[in-house]
Amino acid sequence: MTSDPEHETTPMYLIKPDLKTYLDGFFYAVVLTVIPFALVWLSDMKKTPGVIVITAFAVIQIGIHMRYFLHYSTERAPVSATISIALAIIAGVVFVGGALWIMGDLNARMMP
Amino acid sequence: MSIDSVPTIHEDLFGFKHNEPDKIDIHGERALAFWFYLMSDAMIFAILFANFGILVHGTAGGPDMSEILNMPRVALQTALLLLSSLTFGLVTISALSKNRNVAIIWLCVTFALGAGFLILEIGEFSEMVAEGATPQVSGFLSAFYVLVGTHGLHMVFGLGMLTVMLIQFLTKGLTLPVLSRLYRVGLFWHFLDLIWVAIFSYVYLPGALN
Amino acid sequence: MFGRLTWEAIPTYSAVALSGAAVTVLGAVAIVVILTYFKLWKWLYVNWLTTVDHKKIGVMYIILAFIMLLRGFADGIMMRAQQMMAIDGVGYLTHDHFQQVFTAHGTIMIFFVATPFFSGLANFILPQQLGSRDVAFPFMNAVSFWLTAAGAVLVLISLAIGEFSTAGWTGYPPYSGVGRSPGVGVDYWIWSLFISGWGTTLTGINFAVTITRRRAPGMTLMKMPIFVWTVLCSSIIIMFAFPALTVDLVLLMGDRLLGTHFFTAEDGGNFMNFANIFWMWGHPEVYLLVLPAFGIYSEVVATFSGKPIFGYKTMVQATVIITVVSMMVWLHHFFTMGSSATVNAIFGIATMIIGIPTGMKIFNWLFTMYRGKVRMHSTMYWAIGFMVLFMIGGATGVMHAIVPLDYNLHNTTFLVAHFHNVLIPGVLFGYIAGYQYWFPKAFGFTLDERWGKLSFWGWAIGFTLVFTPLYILGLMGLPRRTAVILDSGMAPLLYVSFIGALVVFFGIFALGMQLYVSIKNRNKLRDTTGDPWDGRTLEWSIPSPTPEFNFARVPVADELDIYANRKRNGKSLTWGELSDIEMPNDTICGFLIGAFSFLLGFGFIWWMWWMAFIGFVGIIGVIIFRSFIDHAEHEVSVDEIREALGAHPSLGEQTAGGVA
Repeated sequence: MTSDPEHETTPMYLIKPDLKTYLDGFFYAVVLTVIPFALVWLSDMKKTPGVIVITAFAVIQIGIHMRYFLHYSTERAPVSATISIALAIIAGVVFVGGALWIMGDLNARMMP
Repeated sequence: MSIDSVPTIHEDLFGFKHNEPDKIDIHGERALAFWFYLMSDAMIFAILFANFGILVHGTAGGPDMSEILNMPRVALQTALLLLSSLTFGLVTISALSKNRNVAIIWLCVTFALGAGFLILEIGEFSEMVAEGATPQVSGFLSAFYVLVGTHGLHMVFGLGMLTVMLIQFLTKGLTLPVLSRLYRVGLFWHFLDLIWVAIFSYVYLPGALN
Repeated sequence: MFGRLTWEAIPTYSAVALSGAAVTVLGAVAIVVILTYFKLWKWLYVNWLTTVDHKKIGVMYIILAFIMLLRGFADGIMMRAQQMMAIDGVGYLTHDHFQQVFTAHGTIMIFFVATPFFSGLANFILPQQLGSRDVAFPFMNAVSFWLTAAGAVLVLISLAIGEFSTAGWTGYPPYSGVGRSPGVGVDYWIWSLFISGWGTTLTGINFAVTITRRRAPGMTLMKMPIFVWTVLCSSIIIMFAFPALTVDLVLLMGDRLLGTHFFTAEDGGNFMNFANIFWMWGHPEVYLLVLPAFGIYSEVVATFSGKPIFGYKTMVQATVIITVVSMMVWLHHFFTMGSSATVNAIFGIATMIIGIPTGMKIFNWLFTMYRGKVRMHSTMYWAIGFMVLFMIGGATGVMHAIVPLDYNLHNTTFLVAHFHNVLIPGVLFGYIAGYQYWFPKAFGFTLDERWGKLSFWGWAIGFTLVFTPLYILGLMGLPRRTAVILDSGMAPLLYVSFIGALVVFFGIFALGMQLYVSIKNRNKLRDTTGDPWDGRTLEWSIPSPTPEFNFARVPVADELDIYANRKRNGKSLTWGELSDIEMPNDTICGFLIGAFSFLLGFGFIWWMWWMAFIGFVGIIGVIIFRSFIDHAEHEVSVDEIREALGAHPSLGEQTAGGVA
């Protein structure tokens, strides 16, 4: 058995986070929030490209929150937590994407 | 009877090293269970988002997103929640440094920021109701209220958890169970901020686009 | 004060409904009288209401499932009788009452028979198969049970106070909306499902953590018994699919209570979205029920063939594939809703794909029996009967996956026969087999074989007689849920179907007789070794009934079927010294949370807001109170362990000889 002494002695919930990670995370989050807000507020973007840009920033920011605030990383969290996150992403994409697809398709076939 | 020596123990796919039960890490199990719970909760929000996406055009002649959108307030709410994530980080750091009084101060600041967020949200809802944009008007407004309101309800529970943490800081001190509970409350609090990112990106901001 | 609860809530509209109410009320009164007469209240409180022992909770789940099975079966046979009597006539039930009956039948069978039966069996056996002393969160486990029980009590009470939903077990709006169903029926349906749904969600999280963290030393993932694998996959399904049900119910509640427009036909609502969200949960739900049954068949077939399960790896792969694909097929429940051909085709193909891993499993069981020393124990009857009958259900399922065919078959009794064909031989046979297989672990004696086999024949023949006619009638075009039959040509088949229901009743009666006869002959049937079937997995290495702490010392499990292998080599499973064991304390908090959530639900159903408020505050209060308790464990000393184990070999010190 290969053992990683640090992992064994300090459980996930007792690892003291660095102040710097929070400040870094905060900084990234502010930047990633301000840009989409500024885009919709100040520029005159069309709906579709605007939504794509906003979504991209949201996805990145959610990743930042996971990394810097929830302190998620593959080394630190148990692998089962990682699996559950992966499953949640798959299930979320399938459910949300599937639901929008099904109902959108149905809507298009309805009488106006 | 031949009694075996200690068996060979392998680390498995879950990264879990099998120990004897008297070394069970109950707080680690609770942390893991809380991750599982958060993923389940994330599915609740995923389905509410899907529901919003399906009903967003069902305005039935009532107001649409661009008409109920108040950008400064959303920006302020976002700022408050993001700041509260930072201050919760400071709670965690000072609690793990055994610095109880500082932790309590940051906990109160976090509570105030969260409460400020909720007051703004209640203000938003009551303004909308006063203007006649109630959830009964259209499918779109129903979906809006239930998605934003579910996040708000989580925030209320979050504030309750912060209060419980404050009392336990004062009565129990920074014991292991309290610190492990603080970790889970922290996960919950940061998770709510994460959901809010999805809400302002998916619900509010597209309303400001042409 | 009493909201909309008035004297009119007593079901005086028909004698049948009134007698149903009477049976419910008298049953409750009888229980109270018996408990008082034999002075059992303290016993009930100490041993059952406050327990956090996973074995006792498992037993309570199974008792709940059997009680609700009786109720659900009563509904079922009433429907058969109505359809038989209503040929060119009116039958003995009013239409409204008939609708309540089929709604209650479906709701009860899925939520309060199959689901608690799964939770009960898994609760009881999972920690024992893992070599663990309890589930990861014993208190949360108790909460789960009492939430499920609170939901079940709501369903039962609807028989005496008010009415039940008439909207079918799926409760589709707009019919279940407030415009067409203004009464309390749909609210009963919503709240019983909502409360028990939370219980199931907590169970799923609990099992998932237990399986990831509480395995015996050496038990890597690919050394877990198949049943554990299936429970793990079911837990994953619970965690990711149950939120859909929760959301759907809350939104429908909003429509009914607040006048929102999620599922209304006007003002921008979209009632087809209800079906969409409902089946995101509903389809995975049937797989979460059937997978553990597959796990039980795997255990039973391997044990009674005296061989390891054939194709362990493919079995695991099939289980995981079914888990993932089961979340991607939900549209096949509403092919006829009007989606385009592309959408229907993709979901139809995904549905057919599920047939492949399921077929793989059937072959694995067959090859396990092949050249094994098969002992025809009663549980093997259920397993083999399942393989034969389930094949028909699977084949008709693939028929439904063919979209053009589904357009003809949907909403007929062909569909009804199909899903009963999957749920009765697939799920229920498996759970009954599990109940008979693990019964000695709970009570220390085995069940009577003769009545067990008679019960199987009752169920298998009765099932065939009930549902083969329904297949044919469905092809003839008989719609499901019909209170009146207009074509007298259908009469002979409906008579056969009713006779089948009577034969099923004999099967249930035989289950009861089996229990009675076994208790009477318990000394003869006593299981002294703890291993009555020559088992292969860890639970058989400890005494029957299982002691409070399960394992005196932690067992090893570094190979598959470890107990069978160690028995062959004459080696011990356990190692190390006996030491004190820490066990969780009993608490009434779980029961209180269940009771408060009952008040919450009942208050909401009848608009008694003060009661709902008490319930809500009570739940939160108990949770906060619990969070202040840091130490909820007590020690079991070495002496107590020795006393509990007696001369059982798992103590490992008594004899110098080999292991039994």
